[in-house]
Amino acid sequence: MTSDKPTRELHELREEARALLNSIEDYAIFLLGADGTVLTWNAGARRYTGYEENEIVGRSFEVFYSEDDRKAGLPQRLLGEARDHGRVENEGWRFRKDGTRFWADVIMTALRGDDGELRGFLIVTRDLTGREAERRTRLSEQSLRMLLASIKDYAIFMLDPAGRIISWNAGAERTKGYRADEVIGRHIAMFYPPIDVQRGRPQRLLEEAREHGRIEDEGWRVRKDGTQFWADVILSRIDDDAGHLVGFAKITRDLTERRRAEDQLRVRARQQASIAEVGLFALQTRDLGTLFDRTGTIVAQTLEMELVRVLERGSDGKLLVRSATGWPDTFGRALERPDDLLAEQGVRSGAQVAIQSAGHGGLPYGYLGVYSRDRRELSTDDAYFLQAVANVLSSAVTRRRMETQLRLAESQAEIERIRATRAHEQVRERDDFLSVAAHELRTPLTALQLKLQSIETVWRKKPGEAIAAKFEARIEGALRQVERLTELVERLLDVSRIAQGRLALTVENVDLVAIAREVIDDLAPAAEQARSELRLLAPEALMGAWDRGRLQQALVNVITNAIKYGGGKPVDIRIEQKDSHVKVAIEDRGIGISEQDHDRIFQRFERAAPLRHYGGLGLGLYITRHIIEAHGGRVWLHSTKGAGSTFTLELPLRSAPLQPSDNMGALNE
Amino acid sequence: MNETDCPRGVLIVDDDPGIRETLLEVLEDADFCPLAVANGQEALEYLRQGYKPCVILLDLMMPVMDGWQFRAEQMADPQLDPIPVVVLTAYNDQNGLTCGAYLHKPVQLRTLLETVSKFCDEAAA
Repeated sequence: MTSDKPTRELHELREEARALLNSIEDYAIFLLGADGTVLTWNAGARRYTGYEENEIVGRSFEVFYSEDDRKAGLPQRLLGEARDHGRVENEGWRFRKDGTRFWADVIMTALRGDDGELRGFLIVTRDLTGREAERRTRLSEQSLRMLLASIKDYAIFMLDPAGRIISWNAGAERTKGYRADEVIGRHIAMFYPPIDVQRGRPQRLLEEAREHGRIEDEGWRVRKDGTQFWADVILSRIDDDAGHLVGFAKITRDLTERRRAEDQLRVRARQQASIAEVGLFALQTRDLGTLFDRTGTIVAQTLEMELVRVLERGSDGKLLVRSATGWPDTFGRALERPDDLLAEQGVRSGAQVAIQSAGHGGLPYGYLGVYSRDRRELSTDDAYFLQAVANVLSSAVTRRRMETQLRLAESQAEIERIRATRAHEQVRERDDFLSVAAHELRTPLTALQLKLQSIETVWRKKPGEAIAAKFEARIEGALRQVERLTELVERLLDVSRIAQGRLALTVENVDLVAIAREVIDDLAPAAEQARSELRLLAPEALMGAWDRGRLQQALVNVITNAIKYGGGKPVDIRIEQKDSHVKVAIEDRGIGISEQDHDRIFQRFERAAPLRHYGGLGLGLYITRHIIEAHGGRVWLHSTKGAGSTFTLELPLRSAPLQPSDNMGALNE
Repeated sequence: MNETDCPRGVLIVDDDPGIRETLLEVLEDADFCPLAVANGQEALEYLRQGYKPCVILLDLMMPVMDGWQFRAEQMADPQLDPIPVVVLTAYNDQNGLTCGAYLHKPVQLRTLLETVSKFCDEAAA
């Protein structure tokens, strides 16, 4: 190797290289001294930084760094690293002369002499500002993409201008059921129900978005598995900077749940309206068959089930079809075999609820059933609705039965009333008959009595010989019978008067003791005959306001009874005054009256003793009670079976007699 | 003796033949001149023909013309009004009828004769 020629060649080469370096515009290439002083400059450096060669050579390269970087010692650190490692590469902001900045890729290479002494640094700087922006865009795009991809509640995807899918996110996958590789490149029509595709809906939506920039839409969309969901869709047109359509962004939200909730509310509202309708109809109609038929129609429409029926439990406990909606011409056979209908009608789904009502031995009154030939799932709401309708029917059935029972009770009450009225009429008719009969009896009695008395009179005026006495006795006997008949007639008439509330009193001042004496005197022969002694224990006199004749009658009745049932033992008649009342007690020592008969014997036509042994109409005590009660007094009995009886008549001293209900009865008693 | 001329004439008005027969018997026995008719209509006919009994024994409930109707007709006729009337009835209901005396069936012979005698003796006096 020669020294001259190679040296000249090297020099030329160096100059060429220098010229080349100087001319390079895409790179700032310059040398620094070991201390960082700028030694050389080139075109690229000038272009990047705005400094002319004479402005920068001799100054520290730190001017290209921000103040913060300088304070942090970045320029010196980079020089140090280059010195230590021979080379350092760094990216970062560098500042131009005018203060603006550019993103620089800087490579610093340490230059050493043959002796290894550091001579300086070669700086090669590239302006990466453009590439940085791209990279940053790419970065943010990537994070946005990641963000979008991670969103699960919304299906967010991009379409090209033709409507083909060019991006996909997790929400889209979740909502539609497709993975990205299954949909990228395919047209969005794939998500629409066939009917919408036929009507050109996907294309129309794209066109509207193209035209208006953004549209919103709600509708059914189809998932991969074929099920549908209710989607809320926002479709936005996307343009480049020049305003050219580059595609569409589509954001889809699955509103199926919301839609379902709305549907549920709508269905519930309709079901409630239907329940109300059935309820109103139940109130209006009295006929259960009509109600069931109407209910069947309403239920069929509300639940959208084709077949509805009401089963009713017959009196034999078997279930019969009472009403059927939607069953063609099978009602007749349905009555015999209600369950065959289901198979016959091809029923594939249905439900049945009980119609409860008491009175079927604890079993339901019947059943309300809904059926479909399709596979229909009934919701909880549907079940509640059905039960509610069945409850309305239960109420109607119960009400109906109660009405029937009420009507039955009413008609029974009516029958009782009629029966009572009839009985009352019969009693009145009997009393009327009694009255008329007794009055009619008086007429022949009158004739008989007058005839006998006239015979007797004539006989006494002109007495015959031996026969006379015989006839006289017989006529007397006949007249006694007339008296007895007369007495019987009068008692019957008393009963009739009492029954008609026409027992009237003629009240005057009378001496009760005197009346009692008269009665005892009159009855003395009868008592003697019965071997009873009548003993009066009374004050000298006892004045009061009473009906003389009626009191006589009462005393006669009671004392006659005492003699009759006295068993030949003495009968005591005690009269005493106690305050404003008088008590007359008639005590016998005869057969007595058992307690169970005490009330009964004061009733009409009643007697305690057997009729065979003791005759009489059984009216005496009845009439006596009414006579005393008409005086405002009362009658009671103390008796022991077999030990005798004591009848007590209690009278107020001054009786205010009850007025007869009919004053016609008061006259001439 | 013609009963229409007898000063002790008694007009018996009663629809019951047994009563008419008996009253005729007992009154004849007591020396009255009784005449018996079956109802008020017949009684009025006799009276308007000029028959003048000293007393009328009147039943109340009779067919054709009852005692009340007869009494009304009689009182409306000045010729007939003065004749005393004794009502003899099985019923206790006189229903506002006014008359000289009431007798209730079955009447005692003595009571009947005393009452009839009283009116006829008054008429004779």
